Amino acid sequence: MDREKKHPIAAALAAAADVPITVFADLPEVVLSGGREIRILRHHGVREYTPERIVISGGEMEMEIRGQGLQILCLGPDSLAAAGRIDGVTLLRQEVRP
Amino acid sequence: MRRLWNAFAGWVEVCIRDPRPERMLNLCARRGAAVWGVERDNEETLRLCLRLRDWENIYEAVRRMGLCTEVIGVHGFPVLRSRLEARPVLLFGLPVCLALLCAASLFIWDVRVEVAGTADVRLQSALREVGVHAGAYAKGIDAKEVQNELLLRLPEYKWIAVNIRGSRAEISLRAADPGPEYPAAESWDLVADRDGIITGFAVLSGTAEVKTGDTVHAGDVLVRGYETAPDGTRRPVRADAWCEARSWATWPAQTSLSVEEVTGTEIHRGFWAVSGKNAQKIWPWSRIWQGEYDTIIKREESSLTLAVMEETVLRRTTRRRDLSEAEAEALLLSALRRRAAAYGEIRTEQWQTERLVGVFRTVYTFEAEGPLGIPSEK
Repeated sequence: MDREKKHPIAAALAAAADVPITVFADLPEVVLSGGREIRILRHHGVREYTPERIVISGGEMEMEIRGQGLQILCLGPDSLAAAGRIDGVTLLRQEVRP
Repeated sequence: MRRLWNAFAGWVEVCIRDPRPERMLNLCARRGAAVWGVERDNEETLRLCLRLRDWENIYEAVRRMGLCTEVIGVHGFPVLRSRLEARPVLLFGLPVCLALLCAASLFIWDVRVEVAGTADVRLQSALREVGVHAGAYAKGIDAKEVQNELLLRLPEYKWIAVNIRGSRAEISLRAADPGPEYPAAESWDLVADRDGIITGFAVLSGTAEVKTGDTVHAGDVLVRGYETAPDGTRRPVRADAWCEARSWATWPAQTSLSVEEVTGTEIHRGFWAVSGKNAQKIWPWSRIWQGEYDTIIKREESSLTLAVMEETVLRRTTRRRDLSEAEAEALLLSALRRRAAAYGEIRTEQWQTERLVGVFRTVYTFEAEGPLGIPSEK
């Protein structure tokens, strides 16, 4: 598994304690509320922002949010909230990143 | 809550013009500056909001990055404060007014007597003497002590309640039962106040002139105002007796078959009230809001010195309505029965009705049993 390669100790601890790996590793967490709002915890910055596309850095991967009328509601040191019509969320790994 | 805090701390709306305006977002994220309301106007323009202090902290970094920024607006309490600093009277006047308002709420500004017609001079004077008056310190009034003091000073009231509601003192009163009015003379007779047959009789003081079963006419003496001692001497007394009698009466009554009926439409309205009084009615020549609405039906009370209150007002209009015979009969009987209740309990009753031109006439006959006898000076 990819996460076990990158975070072997965190993955082992999470498996032993039966908790999500985000408890032990600095990995982004995404909460999608319907198709109108998305919240991302532990992001690593905004790569691109237009009303149709938001690309967020998540460390070893990037997240692409596609939609219409996208707006960043709130941006903090480790959290981001965006709203608008969300059509899709895609994970872009380093090897497949265009 | 966050919005409230942002308004208190102050916030700026910034426009960034750069080929890659996302750099500004990442800078804010790295520096721990919370950003909200991010909008992309076009390819090179981004608008966002951040706290005033955060903007001051990152401004130097923004300048070093070579971002072209423009502050569109500064909002919040710090802006208001800086504006007020140029107007010292307003700056200090506002808290002074608030402080005065708070201080005024600690005092009594309105003394309200609930029972109409009892606000006599003695009561007002007694209230002032016990410390309940406009300008009195509300917390310094001990309601129970004031009630007891007022009861001692005003024996004509049997019950007094003092309620302090904010800046208003509400005085509720119940007048003492004056009891029967007796002549001032040392002795008197007890005489019949109407015709009747005595069904129960017991002398309490005086000398009996009648007995149970006797028929008496109005004015007949029931009990003489003296008592005879064993030695034959007469001592004047105030005659008193328990006397029950059965009485009859026949009363005619009539009413018009066309009556005026009050009707109207109700509306609710809010208004500013100062010490519970309509601010629009402070001046005696001012009229009630909207002339055609002339009766206040209900008012939501508030104990605050300055408050928004609500009341229901009625637009009174009258119209003539024809009474049916049944309604006219019920109206007359109701009035006659109320009058007959003074004779005691009604045992039997009968009535005859007739309709004349425009009027309805009733002849009411009843038999009642109740107390008989009133004092009469010799």
